[in-house]
Amino acid sequence: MSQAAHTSAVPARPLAVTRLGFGALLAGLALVLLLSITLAVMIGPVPLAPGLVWRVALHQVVPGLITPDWATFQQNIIWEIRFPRVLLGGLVGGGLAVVGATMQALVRNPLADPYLLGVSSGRVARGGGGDPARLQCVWHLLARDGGFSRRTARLRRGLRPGPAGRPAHHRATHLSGVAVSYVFSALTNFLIYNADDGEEVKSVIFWMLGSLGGARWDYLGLPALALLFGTLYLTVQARSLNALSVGEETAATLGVDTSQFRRQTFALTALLTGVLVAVSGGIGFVGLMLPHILRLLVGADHRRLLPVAALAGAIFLIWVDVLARVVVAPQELPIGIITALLGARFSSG
Amino acid sequence: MKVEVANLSWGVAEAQIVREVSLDCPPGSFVGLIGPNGSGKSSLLRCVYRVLQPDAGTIHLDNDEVWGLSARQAAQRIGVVLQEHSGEFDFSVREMVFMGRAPHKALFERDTAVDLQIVEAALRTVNMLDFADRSFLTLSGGEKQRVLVARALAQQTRFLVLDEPTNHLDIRYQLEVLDLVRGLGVTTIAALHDLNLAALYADRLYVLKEGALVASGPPEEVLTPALIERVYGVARRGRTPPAHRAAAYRLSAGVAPGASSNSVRSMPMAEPPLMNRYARHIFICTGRYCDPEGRAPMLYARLAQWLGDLGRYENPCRVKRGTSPCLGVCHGGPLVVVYPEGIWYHHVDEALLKRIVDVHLGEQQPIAAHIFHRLDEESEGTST
Repeated sequence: MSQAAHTSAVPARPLAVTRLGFGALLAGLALVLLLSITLAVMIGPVPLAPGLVWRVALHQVVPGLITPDWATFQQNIIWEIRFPRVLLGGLVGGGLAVVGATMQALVRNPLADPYLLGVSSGRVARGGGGDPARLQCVWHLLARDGGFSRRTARLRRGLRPGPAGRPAHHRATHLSGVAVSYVFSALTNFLIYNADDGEEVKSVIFWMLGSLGGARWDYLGLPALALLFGTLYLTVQARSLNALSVGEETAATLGVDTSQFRRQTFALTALLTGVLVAVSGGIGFVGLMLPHILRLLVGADHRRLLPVAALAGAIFLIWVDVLARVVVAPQELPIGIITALLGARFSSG
Repeated sequence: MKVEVANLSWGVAEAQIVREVSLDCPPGSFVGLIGPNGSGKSSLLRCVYRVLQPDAGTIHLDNDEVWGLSARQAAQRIGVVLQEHSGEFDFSVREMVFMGRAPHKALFERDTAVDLQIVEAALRTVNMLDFADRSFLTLSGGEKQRVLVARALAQQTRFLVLDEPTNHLDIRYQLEVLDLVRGLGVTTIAALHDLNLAALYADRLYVLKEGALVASGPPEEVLTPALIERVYGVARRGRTPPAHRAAAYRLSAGVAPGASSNSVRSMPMAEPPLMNRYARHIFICTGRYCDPEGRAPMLYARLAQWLGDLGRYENPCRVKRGTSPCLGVCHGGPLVVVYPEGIWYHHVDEALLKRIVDVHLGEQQPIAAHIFHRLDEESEGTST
């Protein structure tokens, strides 16, 4: 048969499909990430030299290697303020992109995002009222006083096998997520409405929009661990994610235990999202649009998409946070405002 | 692989969808499942490929009960071609077929050169290797279907389940896909809508109605007009479409039948170069249904003359005269079936051809009746 006629309309294949090309892409992204971290630490009200940034970092990691020749305030700015913030931005950005890509595959909808399961609204409702101990809220999310357990109960209802042994449908999960979101946004609105003073309102809204403003070193551990293991786990499971993103039944015929896999992966993504939201609030767009854009670059195969999403998400959010800091300096914009604007720009253009 | 389904039942709360169905597929057999829409074919197959857990009954692959296997083990034994090819994610054709290797891979195992070979061989088999880097979503329905067949091939199973595998395919690929599957020699269960295809390819047919088995056996025994009427609720239609009848007259008068017709299935028989390229078997189907006016001998003589002129015609074998089929063979292409109302070409092997002839020789003529049925439908859409 003549296939020449068909091949004329071949669209350009994504870059980096070959193993070599993909390795180069990952290395390149890692390099850009490193560069971004350096630049993001340098940029701010007090300008700093790149050499200084890494010397301070080295000094902190391996004390005694370098004799400090910088002022204490410089060290404080670099190590106590900017580094945690930039790294947190990287972790949150990478995490949201990975979770977003996973969530889109799980519900087979390219418009899904990490907050689909209602985790962020829950966090905002809990975090509102100016609770300063954010990490503690992660544990609230996990188990402590019912917030998470109620949520998981809701999720479990969505994931449990349907009547007559029919596999649970992801729509049920999606719908429970949406329902949970509504419940918690009602709660959040109630908090705002009922707030005693302007500060409290501001605090709630701050969480709704998301910010990396309060980053501290001790906030980084859990998100870093969660992101590392989450991304590893998901990348290892990428074949199943691929199959599931093509179709529920297809995945089953390709040897994926779909209900169990979906249950596990939803739980993992909910946990990851919970951790991320607890440290940064609900930052939009990253988890929704970034996986979408990256698929154009590396294709839909999650073995490539997920590592690239982790790196690109980190780079992206680091730079967005730089913008958030400098646009109206010395004031700071909630980062969610910028991501939302970028998202709107991308979607419409 | 031997596949045995015994007393299988499945239903949802308010309705019994599959009722105590038993199927028996000997190793290497091609079993066709037919029945009207909603008769439970797909549900039955879903139970077989371990997506729905049956309420009662067993499914054995050789000695393994399907539900005793894990999803992964089942996927190493059963290849499935579904109708669904949804999804909005943009995988390349090669990536789609690579998914067929997933059941054979451990968690941390990478794709190897062997996997790549298997994938490319599967793509070559369905004639889609040139499309390997194309985006799956940009393919036509037929191309997608062939890629899905390739994915099932890449699973390298000894058992294939096909749920309407020829949907979206034109006649050529319907026949090619089924030829291909038959040629693999693996045990196959296929749900088929097209009774002609079911008759041509299945060793054994099972007929479902309202979830229960109503008939089973070799196609020529099962596909009787009475059964079709009982199961599908349609009477056989033997009307000869006027356009084709005109073509037949022209053919018998030595006028090029395809000259003025651009209908797909009516191959321009009267153009010797095309004939030369495609024809291997010439088969004039006659008898009560095909040739009510007894024109077969004239057609046959006409064909013999054309083919003789081409120097490609050998071993003319007139199977029977008069009201029975006539047959001539020439080499180099698909089967050409000449009906009084038009010409249809099939890509089939000689065994298949023989079966068609046998069916007609025995004066059991369901195939002809169905082909007529089909011609009727198509001519309503295409002829003017």
